[in-house]
Amino acid sequence: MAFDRFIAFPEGFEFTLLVWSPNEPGRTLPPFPHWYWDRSSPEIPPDVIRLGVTYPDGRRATNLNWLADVQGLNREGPVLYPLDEAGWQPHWEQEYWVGPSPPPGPVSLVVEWPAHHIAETSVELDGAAIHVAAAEADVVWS
Amino acid sequence: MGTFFDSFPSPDPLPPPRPLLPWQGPAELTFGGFVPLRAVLVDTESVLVVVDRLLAHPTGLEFTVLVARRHASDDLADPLDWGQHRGNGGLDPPAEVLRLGIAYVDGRKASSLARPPHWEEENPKDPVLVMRSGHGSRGRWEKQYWLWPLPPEGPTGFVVHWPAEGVDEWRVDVDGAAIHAAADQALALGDG
Repeated sequence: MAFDRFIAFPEGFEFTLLVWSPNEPGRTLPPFPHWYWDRSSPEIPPDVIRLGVTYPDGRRATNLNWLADVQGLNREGPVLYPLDEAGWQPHWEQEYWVGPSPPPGPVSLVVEWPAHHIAETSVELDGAAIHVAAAEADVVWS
Repeated sequence: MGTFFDSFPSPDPLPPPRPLLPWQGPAELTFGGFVPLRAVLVDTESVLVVVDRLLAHPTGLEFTVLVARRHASDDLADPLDWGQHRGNGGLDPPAEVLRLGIAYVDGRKASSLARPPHWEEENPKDPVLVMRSGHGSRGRWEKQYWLWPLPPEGPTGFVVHWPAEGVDEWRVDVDGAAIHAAADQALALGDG
């Protein structure tokens, strides 16, 4: 799994989660929760990728709450929900939106994938880089 | 309990997926280098067309085309998808189709209207421009394209023509050197 294609806006940022999973020949749906799971069931299937973000001030969001986030029910934020997707087995690409823009400081992205014995793993992003890039955003029409 | 469906033999397992050919998309487990360019192809009172998010690979170029109508629209038909505008089956693209093309500095061309090569074709004669993913509706669309091969160094032209919007053929050149510099930053992980 890799994170790539970070695009920053004043209101938040996008990124792409890339997944290479060659040992799942039977999989037909992407391994992301919004494809087949809306948390109406208390059980989180082990073959969905858990993804989360932690802001420097401790606030958190997860793709497991994507439905509430995308419906605007999580008014406190932050939100983490899916955008575009591409790929097919064994290579999946899923874009996510995170907003609002995090406060200054390190931002952590966290993943866990029980079906593949991938324990909770986090990487730290340079929050300053997100803000520098957001300052480069263009408004073509207003 | 019926037995009709149980009487069919189980299907054979699917063969392992074949890696993409270079003209079909980036090599697996490669990450394109970011090209710090943005090209506004069309900016009129009614429509905007922008090329953005360019990622360069040794084998080609990924980019996103954003199409937006300035005013609220109920238009559901994707201007970049000729298939949605075929109407009564004419062979020529109707005026509502946004034509997108690439002009290589050495004279070669690629077009969104060109028929893609056969899926098994390993080494097409001409450059290829294919839409890989995207979304949109009601006056705003974002589409991701793959251009093969990587244009040579020198100015690379993005060409647009959209008759229904009164947009005559128009070309914006971007810096091929910046594309090549970004391709040098592409990262390959694993052996694919």
